[in-house]
Amino acid sequence: MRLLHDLGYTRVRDFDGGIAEWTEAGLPVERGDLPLVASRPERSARPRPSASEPSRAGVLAWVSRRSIGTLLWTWLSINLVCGVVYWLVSFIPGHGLREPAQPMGHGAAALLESVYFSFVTGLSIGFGDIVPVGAVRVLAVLQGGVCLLVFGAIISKLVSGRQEELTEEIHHIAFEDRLGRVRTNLHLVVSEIQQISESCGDGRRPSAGMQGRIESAAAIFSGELRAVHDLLYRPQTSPDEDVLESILAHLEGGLRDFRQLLACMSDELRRTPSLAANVRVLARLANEICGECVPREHAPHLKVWMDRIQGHARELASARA
Amino acid sequence: MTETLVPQISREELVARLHDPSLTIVNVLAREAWRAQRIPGSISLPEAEISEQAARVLPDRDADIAVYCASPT
Repeated sequence: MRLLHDLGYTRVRDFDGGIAEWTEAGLPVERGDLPLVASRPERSARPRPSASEPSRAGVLAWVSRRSIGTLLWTWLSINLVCGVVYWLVSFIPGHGLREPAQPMGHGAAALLESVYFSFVTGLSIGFGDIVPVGAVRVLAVLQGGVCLLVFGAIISKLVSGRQEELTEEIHHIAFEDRLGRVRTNLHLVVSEIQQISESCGDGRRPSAGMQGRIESAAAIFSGELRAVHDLLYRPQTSPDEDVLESILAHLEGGLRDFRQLLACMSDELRRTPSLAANVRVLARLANEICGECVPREHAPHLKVWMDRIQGHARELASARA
Repeated sequence: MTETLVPQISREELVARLHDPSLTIVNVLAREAWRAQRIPGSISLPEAEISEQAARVLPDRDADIAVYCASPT
């Protein structure tokens, strides 16, 4: 618990009673291996339906789980089956379909007409050229309702499919945008560090007047490092290899220059709280960037960059101590 | 000594937010103990693995986290 706090987690709280208090209070527990070990379970991705939420009716749940293809087939079969039923029922006198002038016959032409009527009903068109008579009217109304529902589900699935595509596209654009910003900012902050470093060497040190510039460069640098760290640790989307390499190379160069700058600063300037805090963040985050510790497998040359970054982190940490 | 500084979460709040996706409940006991019984929805992060695995299991450092172990310490 202290450990998590030390690792930089800001909103950690302790449930002191532990599992003992939980079970003593008679609260439910979970057992077994269900959520994958050491991976974030789905509760973070999507809120579970709470117990108070009414479960959806069986038909609706069934419809929402099917694919568009299945739904289309269902819709077609309902219409075909109903068509045949209308035709069969027409053998019972007084029931079946009727054209305005006379009852329909029982031949193949009548079967086709029944199927035609069924589709007109299923699509809720209702031309009225053929009308149901007797018990068949109930079936026609039911068919109309069910087909409307299934058809609606098909349309909504088509629309939501497109929506998901759009959302993904937006995510992609936002990601590219963020990458671009990270690259630009890294570039700017690294050249700023290099510029400040020019006041080093030959026994010269950055003057106290430089302190503000150094501090703000360190703050921006640690922010950018955090962004890169996030990029590596949230692997839903990963940048192209060459983009990532350029980012890592910049980062590595920046850390190297920053270390040199710190080395040439006087102790007094180096120990100011703001700079020391940013250096701590830089060291901690960079320490978690190495070929083996990031959660995703990368090409060997990328791992080399990451390992170098971690190397700088260790140097930074030891220089601080 | 430092324990007094650690903020606490009450059982009532934990129960109320059991299905709240913004609260991550973490079990720091050994994995065997976690398997045997745990608060529903809690994830396993054994104490010994915290420094290695924390970043992977808990990517968001500013997320609300509730930690628990066996019993009051």
